[in-house]
Amino acid sequence: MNAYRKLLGVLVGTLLLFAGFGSALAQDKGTVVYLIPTLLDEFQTESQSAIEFVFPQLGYEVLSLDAQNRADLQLNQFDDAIELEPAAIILNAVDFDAAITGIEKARAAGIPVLVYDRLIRSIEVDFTSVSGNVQIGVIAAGEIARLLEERNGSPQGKVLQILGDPGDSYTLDIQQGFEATIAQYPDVELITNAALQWEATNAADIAEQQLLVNPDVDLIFSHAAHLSGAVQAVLEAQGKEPGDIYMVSSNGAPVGLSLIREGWLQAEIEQPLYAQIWGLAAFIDKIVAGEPLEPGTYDVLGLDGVLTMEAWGPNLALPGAAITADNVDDSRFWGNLQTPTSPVVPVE
Amino acid sequence: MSSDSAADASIESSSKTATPLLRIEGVSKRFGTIEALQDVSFDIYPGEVVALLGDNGAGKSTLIKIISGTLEADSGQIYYNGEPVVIKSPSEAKALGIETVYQDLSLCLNVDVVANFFMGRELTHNVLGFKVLQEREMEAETEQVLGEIGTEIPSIRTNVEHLSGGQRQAIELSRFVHWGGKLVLLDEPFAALGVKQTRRGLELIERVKERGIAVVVITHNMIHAFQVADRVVVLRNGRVLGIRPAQATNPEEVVRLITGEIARQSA
Amino acid sequence: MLQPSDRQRRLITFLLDNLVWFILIFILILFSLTIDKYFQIGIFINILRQATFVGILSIGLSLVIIAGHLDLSIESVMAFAAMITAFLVASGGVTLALGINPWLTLPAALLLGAIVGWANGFLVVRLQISAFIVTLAAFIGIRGLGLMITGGRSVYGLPDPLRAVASTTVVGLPLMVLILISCYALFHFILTRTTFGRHLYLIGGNATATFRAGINVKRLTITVFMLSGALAGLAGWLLSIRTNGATPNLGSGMLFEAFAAVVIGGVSLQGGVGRLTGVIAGVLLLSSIDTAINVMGLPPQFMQVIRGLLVLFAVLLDSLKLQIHRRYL
Repeated sequence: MNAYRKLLGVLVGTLLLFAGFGSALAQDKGTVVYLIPTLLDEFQTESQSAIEFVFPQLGYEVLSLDAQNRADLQLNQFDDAIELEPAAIILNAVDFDAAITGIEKARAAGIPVLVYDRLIRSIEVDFTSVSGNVQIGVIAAGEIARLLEERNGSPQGKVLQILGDPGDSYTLDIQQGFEATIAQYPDVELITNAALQWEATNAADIAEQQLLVNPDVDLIFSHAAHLSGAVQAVLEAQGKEPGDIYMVSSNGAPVGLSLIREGWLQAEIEQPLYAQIWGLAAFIDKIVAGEPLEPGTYDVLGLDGVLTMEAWGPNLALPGAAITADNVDDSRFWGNLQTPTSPVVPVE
Repeated sequence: MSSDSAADASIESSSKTATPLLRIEGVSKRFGTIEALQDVSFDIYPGEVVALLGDNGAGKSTLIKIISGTLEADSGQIYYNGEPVVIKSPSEAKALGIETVYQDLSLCLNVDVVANFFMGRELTHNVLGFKVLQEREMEAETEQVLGEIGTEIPSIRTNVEHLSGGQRQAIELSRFVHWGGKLVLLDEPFAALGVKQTRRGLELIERVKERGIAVVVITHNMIHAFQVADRVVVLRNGRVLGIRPAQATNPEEVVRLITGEIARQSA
Repeated sequence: MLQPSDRQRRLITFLLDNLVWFILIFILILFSLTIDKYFQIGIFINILRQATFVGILSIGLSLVIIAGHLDLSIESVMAFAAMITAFLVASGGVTLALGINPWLTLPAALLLGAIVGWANGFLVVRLQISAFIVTLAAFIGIRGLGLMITGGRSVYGLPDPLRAVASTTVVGLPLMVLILISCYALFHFILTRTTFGRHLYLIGGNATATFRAGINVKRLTITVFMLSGALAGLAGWLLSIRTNGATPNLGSGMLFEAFAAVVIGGVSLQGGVGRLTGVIAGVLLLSSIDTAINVMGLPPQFMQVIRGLLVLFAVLLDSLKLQIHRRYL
């Protein structure tokens, strides 16, 4: 799959480049290279679509390169990108530490680096747009406490937490935020397992095992919606009805929203995918021009984005949102796959 | 030289009245720039043992492989029972009744004696469309054949990898004795055998011959050749240098043919 | 040197041949004694159910390896078959949501696998390309093909009749487990009792000799790749039912699990040696360990380390067996 993806990436890249040189857009501001960690994840595929939708509106060509979850490949792509002298590089890192060399090189070459979704704290970059995975864990903990109270009369019960791949800091961040918050409720008992490689079958296996040894589980919290999908299949196969065991997951993928509509899933904590990208786009002109950014609160697609100056540079934090049966059809949730039509408002 | 051998051949064939079982006519084979066989012709009659002699690289094995269907000739024609045939694969050769014993043994070491003995000829009966092996019948038959030949193998259910070189060769030989068909090709069959086993092997050739089966045997050993052969065919550099009735020649002449001394003299 | 008696020899051979089973039983007893709640029927059924996919993949892989080749494509074929199954009839995500009889997805998955297998076999046999390269290319390319169809997105929500396959039990055993057991029984029978099975061992042992014996080695080789592909297709069909859909990375990692199971089960990568009774024990061994780790709540990294050690152990065991055989038997 990797070689195929690579080939496709190169092909698409070449085509885009030719397209870029060929069509002299009215407002040709150069190329933005988007470095993708992997495309084996719907959050990533939708991010790519959204970025390729938004930036051309502002006059930038987008060249997307998929690193297939390989940190070494992403560094090569950094080198290639630098050769193209793009207006900016948007980085969605495979590995936070490995990416540092690439970031240094690009910035030394005068190319601004914007970090999207996967926060890097250990080096200064030109802009960061994140939802805060730790924050997602915190929101999830709040939702879960609420659901346990609804179910058991007070925030108490047994929660099975299914992590993604234990080598992925995305899942570890969520875990950190979640566990720190849920610790406030001493009557919540937590069991934690990890689905290697974010592979759905592994999540199904875990759910099945745990329901045997801990049949009194009240709620299953999976770190991605597609894991909840597999868990739901197991519950159904065991003759359970929606709501017999509560389910919560995080990332807001389409399958999660569908499970909410069917009543299997009580809450989904979404990453504000569209807002994160609209946020990047809002600041891109200023960043490329090298103008200073003002800390403060900015309205991004109706969400309150808070821009602060951190050790790693300007940081735009966008709040994740809890999706429940009440608001599941809201088009701002990326899981509904309705790319917002509202134009990007560049920050003045 | 070729006219010489052709003359020899015509003398031979005129001395027999029956149709040859196998007739090779003008067969040539090239490997890149090397002419492995050039215009090779000879006949084999039922119940006849022909020794194919020649130095390493003379083309003996290539010729055997062409007859057994492992290689295809570039040109020339093969007649079987007087009919022109094209032998494209070992299974076609077997269908004609041609059995081959190769220099490097054709045994599968990872299975037992029975499986090797019945390789490609398994006894089966049909169960719901599956060809199910009849192990007991095959076992009995193998036991019987090996007994007849007088080979001692501790258990015919032992994997061949645990058997000695001689025992392995015995299995290989037992196959041609049992499945002989009409023509048996033996490529250096005694290479790995001890004295006693070789003698038994030579007896087996005699036995097969008595059943009217024709035998072509490649060997380096003149004594073996003259012990069993009715005729000898000498190859040198891919050409037939001479075809002689065994009684009409002697090991010394054959050796001189093989080494090229006679050819040099005649040239 | 000590020469064992005939009875001792038979006993040693029996022990060596069934070593994986003894290890499996030992491990199960050990886990049952040391892990709270491990010893219950439900856990053992789960071990079997979770072994279904790697188990079915391992059958095809064993057949191909016994015949002296390799098939790396099985995991991708499985994922692709799962994707196609979901793509044809699922209700959510990227799907055609065809109103066809959902059972048609089974022949579709099998056929798909067989076609890929045929192509693998054809390239190996006719163009004489090494099976490693051919099936590696298929492993890479077919995973991509699945992604291409759905654009890397998930498909979910299978029709009820298919979902029922996951929940149906027959005399207390899940249907999936029965399918797994039937597959093993069928292919064990084929390998040990039929000419086809016999010929696979012969080809794996000495392809030249087999060819000389008049056996159609090329056709058999293509057939064995087709079987391996079709079995992967079946595994994919079941996997999509298990997870009620298909995600882009579905089944990733199962190729190496299958390889580990096959090696642990005593199939020699050299070809010509191995039995499915060993392979199923290998599959169950891996599955029991995974289950134990899940139930104990151990960090999942343990799983990979333990698996790695197991494979190494299996290979060491194999050479030890050979030495014992040479020296004492």
